[in-house]
Amino acid sequence: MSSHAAIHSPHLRHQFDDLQQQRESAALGMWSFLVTEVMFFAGLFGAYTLYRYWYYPEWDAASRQLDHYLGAFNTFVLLTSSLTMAFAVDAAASGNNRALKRNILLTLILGLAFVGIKIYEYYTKWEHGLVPGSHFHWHAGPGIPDIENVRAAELFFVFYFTMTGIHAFHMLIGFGLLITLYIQAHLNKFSAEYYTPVEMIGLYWHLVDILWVFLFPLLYLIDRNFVS
Amino acid sequence: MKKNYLTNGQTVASWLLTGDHKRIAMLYLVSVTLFFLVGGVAALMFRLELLTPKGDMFIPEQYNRLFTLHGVMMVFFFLIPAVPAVLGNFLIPIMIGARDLAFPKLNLASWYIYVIAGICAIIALIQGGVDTGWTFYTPYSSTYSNTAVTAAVLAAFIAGFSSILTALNFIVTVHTMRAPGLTWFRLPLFVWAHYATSLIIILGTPVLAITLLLLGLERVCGVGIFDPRLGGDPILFQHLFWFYSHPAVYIMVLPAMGVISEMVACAAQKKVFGYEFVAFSSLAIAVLGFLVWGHHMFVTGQSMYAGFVFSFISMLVAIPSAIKVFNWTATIYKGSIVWNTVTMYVLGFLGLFTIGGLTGLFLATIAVDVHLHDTYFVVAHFHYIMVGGSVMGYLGGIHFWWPKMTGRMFPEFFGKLSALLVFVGFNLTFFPQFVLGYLGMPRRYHAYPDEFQMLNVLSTAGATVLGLGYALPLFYLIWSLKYGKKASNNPWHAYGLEWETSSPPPTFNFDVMPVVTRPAYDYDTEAAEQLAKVEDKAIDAIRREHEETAL
Amino acid sequence: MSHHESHVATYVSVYIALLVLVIATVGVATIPLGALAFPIAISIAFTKAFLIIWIFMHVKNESSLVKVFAFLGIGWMSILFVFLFCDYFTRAQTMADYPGAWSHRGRLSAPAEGGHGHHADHPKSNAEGHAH
Repeated sequence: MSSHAAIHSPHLRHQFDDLQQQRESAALGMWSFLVTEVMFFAGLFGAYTLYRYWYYPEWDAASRQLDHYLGAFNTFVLLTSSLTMAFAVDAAASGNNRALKRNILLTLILGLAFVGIKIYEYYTKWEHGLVPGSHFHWHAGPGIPDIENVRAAELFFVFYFTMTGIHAFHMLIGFGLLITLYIQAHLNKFSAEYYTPVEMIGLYWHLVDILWVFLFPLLYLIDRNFVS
Repeated sequence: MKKNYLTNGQTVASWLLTGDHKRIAMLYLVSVTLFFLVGGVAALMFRLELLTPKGDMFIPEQYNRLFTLHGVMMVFFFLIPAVPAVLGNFLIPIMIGARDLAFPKLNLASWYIYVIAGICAIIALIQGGVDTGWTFYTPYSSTYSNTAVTAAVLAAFIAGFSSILTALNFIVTVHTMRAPGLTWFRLPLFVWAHYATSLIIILGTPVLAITLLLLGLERVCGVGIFDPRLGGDPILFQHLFWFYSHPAVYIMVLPAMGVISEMVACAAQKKVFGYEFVAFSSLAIAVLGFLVWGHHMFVTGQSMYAGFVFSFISMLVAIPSAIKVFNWTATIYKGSIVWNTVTMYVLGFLGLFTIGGLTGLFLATIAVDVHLHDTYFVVAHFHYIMVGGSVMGYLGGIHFWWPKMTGRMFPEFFGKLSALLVFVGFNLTFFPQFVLGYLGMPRRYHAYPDEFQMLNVLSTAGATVLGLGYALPLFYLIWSLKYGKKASNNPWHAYGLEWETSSPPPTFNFDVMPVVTRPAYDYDTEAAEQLAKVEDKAIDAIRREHEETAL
Repeated sequence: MSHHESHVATYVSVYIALLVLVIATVGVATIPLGALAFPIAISIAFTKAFLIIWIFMHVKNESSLVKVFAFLGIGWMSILFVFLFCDYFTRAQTMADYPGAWSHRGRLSAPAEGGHGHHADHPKSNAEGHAH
């Protein structure tokens, strides 16, 4: 069972009996929160599936307006940030504060790169008149057919901006969490005995990654069959 | 005098920055009551309009804003938080033998988030209110309404986070912080009910959140996914909205059912009949409640086949509720019944909830619903459950645990009087509405054909009596804080960990953390009776001694 | 405290597997698979998600309670999907000229006149909603 030191640890909150109960509670609490995040996106995914089914030809064409190689690269970036986050938790569990800080920083930088690329993508969409609203303008191109039901294509872009936008917002929150974590690590708050916040923020970050793992094929890869 | 949670720290800061779940419960009690009053006043106003067939008090636009205000306030700011955030917050740590909830800071945050949401709602009100109904159906709410929809939707969105944080706290606390010996099947049914409710909250509320966010975005940006001009489906909004809002009605009623389980055992001085059935029925309601939302949409153009599925499962979801009613009734049977305020609320709940539940079955039948949809029949049905059920459960619970929360007894005569006024007033208000709906009067109308006037007058008269029944407790409960008789640990001779600690409890709930060895509702055990007598005598003696020696 | 074993090697192998799966996802999209394309893409995505949950998020080593919560969200989302599409996938039987009907698929043109008004719109203007 827990050692004397663990029971009277400065990290032990008064409502808990021991560190193990505290850690279990934190994990269950964070997973319950992640359930709410999944359900939050569930409505969007459901709506997406409906309209993809209804307007498949238009959505096929609209999806081709996105640069899927850039999207794939961005997916690599985010997956790598998940790797560094896993390294960070591992470092914390081993009591290696330097590696912990380094990996938190790497995760943050990769995350910022991801959002940077997304901002560039949004900019190109705006340039091409693909932002929904009064300035939306469809244009055909190589591999991108002309379509009659332009409104349905605009609907695709409503989903594109909403889904990736809400995802990016979650990444911004993640940045705040990572910065806080870095500061705490810098102040030597973590040790092999207590690194729960690192674990919990890691869970959040991995969820943001999982969401993108679904968003990428759904938005960028509806149909990339080569067309003449 | 020994410190309890109320006297331990008397500054404003010690209340507004508290981590103590009991103080947070009291903060919620005050705010929840305020919003109930706002919603109640709105109802009284439109019931006044409905005294006469012509729309002579308000123009239609004003009338629409009044019933919307009533709905938004009552659903999001009263019914959903009331029992969990007031009674649940106060009691759950004590009932499981813990010092506090798992995340006290999140608990306080949930109250502040609730207050901020409430301020948003008041801002919407100041901006002139909303006329879409609390259901915010598109495309009226997203495109055509000229009212403060964005502010109202933002208020509901923010309130959802408050709800989620409370639920998260409950789930974790019940899993990880039960006292030694307190197995799941020794838990009070109040805790089971709140656990099931918390599951519904974390699974359903986020879907409402995204739906309202999308609605807000559509309103602000001018394009959205429900917009028919882009080929969007307005009915999709209804699907996503009701995916949460149907389970929401179980969020509103399950905690009250938990209260009833506690009160009925005490009123009958007998353990709850069929404990496991009542416990599992809470979980069954939580699961089945997610599979029936389409019964709000039978006449929207939804597929007939989907209608079949939703109708059938809606029949099934009545079963666990019925199981509860049967078990509570069996608890009372051959019990040693005490007639007091608490018993009145229990019996009121049993009768009124049963009527509400049965009328739900009529509405679940598609062929009947085609005629009753959007009539007063629906209004009566859900008020029988929400008011006859949830509000009575809440009020009963406030009275039942008032001695524990405040250390004071309320005047029993006035308690009984308001319970009676609430019961009579309620039935007078809402029974005529079943008839009105059956006769075809639509809901959300400010004017109606002359032949419906008599029933409407009865309904408004009832609303006045009901209002009086609600107002009375406000006075005598506050009065009791200063002048009420001091309460012992266990004034009702009830069984439960909360009755083994002082009234009011100390800040960390127990002087000695309990170890549980007895089953729940151990009313029947002779040993328990003897022990209770000895304990009560001893505690009374100690208290008398303290009172004699105190200033 | 027990000595913590480093899992870096496992993380790297899972990472490589994830990268391979991303490449596979892109590759599969270029192959004309018809109706199978969507399920295959989703299956690959679920595989990636599972690896992240099981290994990166340590669910493999957690209690069964945490395991239940880890998959509860996806389970509940499927309830939303099943019942939502209970409606939408069966509407065609009861409605004429329905957008999702098979007669409209495979064409890049709008459905026939007199339907739900999804005509190619007058461009540029935020035309007021068609009477529905």
